Amino acid sequence: MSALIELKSVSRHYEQATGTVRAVDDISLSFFAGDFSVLAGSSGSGKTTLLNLIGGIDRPDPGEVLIDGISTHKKSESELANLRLQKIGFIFQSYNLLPVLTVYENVQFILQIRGIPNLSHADLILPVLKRLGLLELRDRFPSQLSGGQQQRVAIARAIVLKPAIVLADEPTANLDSETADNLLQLMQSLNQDDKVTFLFSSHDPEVIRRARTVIRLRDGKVIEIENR
Amino acid sequence: MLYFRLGFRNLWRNPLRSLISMAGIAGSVFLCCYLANIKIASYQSMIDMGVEGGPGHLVLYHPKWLIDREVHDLIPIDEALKVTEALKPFSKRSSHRLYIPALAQSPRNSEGVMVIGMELQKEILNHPLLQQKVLIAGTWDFLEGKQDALIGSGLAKKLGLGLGKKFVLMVQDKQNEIHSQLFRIQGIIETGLKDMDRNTVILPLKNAQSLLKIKDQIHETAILLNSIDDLQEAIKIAQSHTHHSLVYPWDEAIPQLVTMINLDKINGIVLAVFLFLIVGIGTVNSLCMSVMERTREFGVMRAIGTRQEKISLMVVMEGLVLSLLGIVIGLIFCTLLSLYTQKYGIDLSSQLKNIEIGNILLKPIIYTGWNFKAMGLISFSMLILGLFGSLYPAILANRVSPSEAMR
Ligand SMILES: Nc1ncnc2c1ncn2[C@@H]1O[C@H](COP(=O)(O)OP(=O)(O)OP(=O)(O)O)[C@@H](O)[C@H]1O
Ligand SMILES: [Mg+2]
Repeated sequence: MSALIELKSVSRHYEQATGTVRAVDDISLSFFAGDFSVLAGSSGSGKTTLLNLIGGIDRPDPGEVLIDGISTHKKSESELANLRLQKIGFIFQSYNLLPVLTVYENVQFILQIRGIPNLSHADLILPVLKRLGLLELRDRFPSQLSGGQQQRVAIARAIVLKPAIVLADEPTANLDSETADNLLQLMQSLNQDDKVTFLFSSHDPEVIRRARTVIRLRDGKVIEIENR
Repeated sequence: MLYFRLGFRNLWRNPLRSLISMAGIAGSVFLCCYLANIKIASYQSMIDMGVEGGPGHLVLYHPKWLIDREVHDLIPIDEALKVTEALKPFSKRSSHRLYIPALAQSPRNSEGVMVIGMELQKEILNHPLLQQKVLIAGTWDFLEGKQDALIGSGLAKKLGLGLGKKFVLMVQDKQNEIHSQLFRIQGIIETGLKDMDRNTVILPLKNAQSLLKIKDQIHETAILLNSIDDLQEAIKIAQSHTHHSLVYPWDEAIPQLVTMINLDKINGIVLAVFLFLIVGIGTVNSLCMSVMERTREFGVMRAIGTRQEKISLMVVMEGLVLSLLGIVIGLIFCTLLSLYTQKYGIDLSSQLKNIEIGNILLKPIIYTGWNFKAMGLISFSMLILGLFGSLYPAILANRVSPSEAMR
C-alpha cells in the first residue's frame, strides 16, 4: 500500500536572534489510508509546525513532503492551495468557522470554493450534518454554538468532500474533558465506520489514549512511535 | 453570490464603522448630485434670462458688432423683418433694438449712459428686466414722437432728477456730429442690476432712431424660438435672408455666459474630486481596519484551500457593497430633496439679496432640475472609487498566511 503522506528527512528551522530554532528536525514518517494517529508532545515540541508541513501550509527546508505522491516542494502558492483543497481536511484549535456564515453555509463554503454546482450542495451537506448531529443547528451562527458544537461543524466541513486525510491541530484544546472525549469518540467512529483518515495533535493523555498510532515528538524530533 | 453575501454580512460586524463610511459615501454622493441638480436649474434660468433679455436664441448683428460694438455697426430693418417673417413658424417673438452710448445732462450733473431703443409695447410684456414691479415711478405708456424716456433709478439719483423732470441726451451721429435732444422722465425703473440702474435710458425704438438721425436701421434683432431644438434649422433659414448682417446662435452672442457656466462646472468638478478623495481615504481606512481584525479568518480560508484571488474578491465585494449602499442612500436623499425643491424651491430671500451675474439677475430662490447625466457619472465614479479603494485592503487580506489559522 502506498503512503498518503510521506515525509522524507523533513526539517523546518526558524532563525531567531537567540539562534536557530529546530522546530522540526529531520523527520521521516508515512501515513496511510485508515490511519488514526496522534502527534503527541509538550508545548513547543513541533506539533503545529509538522502539521503545517504535512498539510502543505508550509514548505520543508530541507526535506520533501509528498501528499498522495505529489511533492509540495516546487509548488506555487495557488497550486498548494489547490492541493489542500483537493486532498486535505483541516480542523483547527479554535475559531475554525467564519462567524458571518451559518453552520450550513460554513460547510457549504468549501463546496463553493471547490466550484461544485449549487444544485448538489444540499445532497452533500445534509447527510454529513445528520451524521454529526448538527441538523437542528444548521441555521445557527457559530457564536450561537458551544465549543464542542463548533468543533463538530469544523469536522463536517473537513470531511464533506471526503479528503484523503483530515489534519487536526489540538482540536480539543479549548474543550472541557467530557466534550473533548465525545469529540474524539465521534472522530473514532468516523474513522471506523466511514473510513476517514485522521492525523491530529495533542498533549492531553486522555485524547492521546484514543489514537491507534502515537507519534511522540520532543524538540522537533520523533522520539517514539507506538502502534496499538 | 457567496462573496456578495459574505461582503454584506461582514459589513454589519462593525456596524458603526460601516455606517460612518457609508454616511461619508452617501453624503458626498448626495451633495454632489444635489449640487448638480441645483446647478443645472440655475444654468437654465441664467441662460433663459440672458437669452430673453438679450440676444434670444438667435440674433442678427452687423458683422463687426460683436467685435467693437461701434454705434455705426447698424443693420437694415428690412432685412431683419424679412428674417423674422421667414422664421415666424419657429419663433415665439422677436425684438429689434438699438444701443446708443450718450451723455445725459441735468442742471446738476452729467453722466455717460447707454440708451436702449426698443419696441416698448412688445418688450414690457416679455423682457425679464422690464416687468411691472420694476417700474418704481411713472408709467409705461409712451406716446411715440413725444420726448419721453424711462431711466434707471440710480441714474435719476445721480442726475438729481425726479419724475416729469427734463434732461438732455448728447450723441454723436453717423457723420460724427454731436446732437442733443431734450427728454422728459416718464418712468423710473429699478431692475436690481446696479449697472443697468445706474446708466440706462430706455427710449421707444423710433425715438432712439431719430436721436441718432437714422431711419430704418437697428443694432440687434433678437429672435426667441419656440423650441431650442429648432436652432440649427432656424439659423439656416435666417442665413438665407441676410446680406448685411450675420446670424449668431445665443452662445456665440453671449460667450461670457457660456464661459461663466463652464468655469462654474469646473469648480463643481474640483469640489467633487476633493470630496471623493477624502471619502475614498476614509473607505480605505475602514476596510483596512476590518481586514486586519480578521487575520485569523483569512488564515483559515487560505488554509482550507481558498485561492488568494478569491480572498481579494471577497474584500473587493465588501468595498463594493459598502459603496453601493452609500450611493443608493445618497441618491434617494438627493431625489427626495430634488423633488421638493423642484416644486417649491428653497427661498433664501430673507437672508440673501438678488444675485447679479453679468447683466443677469437671479432671485435667491433655489430650484432644482434633474441632471441625470451628472447623477449617473457621480454614482459611477463613486463605485469605481469603492473598487479602487478596496484594492489595497484586498491585497492586505490575500497576503495573510494560511499558517495564521494554526496559531
Ligand atoms: N513562526 C515562527 N517563528 C519562529 N519560531 C517559531 C515559529 N513557529 C514556531 N516556532 C518555534 O518552533 C517550535 C515549535 O513550535 P510549534 O508551534 O510547532 O510547537 P507545538 O508543539 O505546536 O506547541 P504548542 O503545543 O504550544 O502548540 C517552538 O519552539 C516555537 O517557538
Ligand atoms: Mg501547536
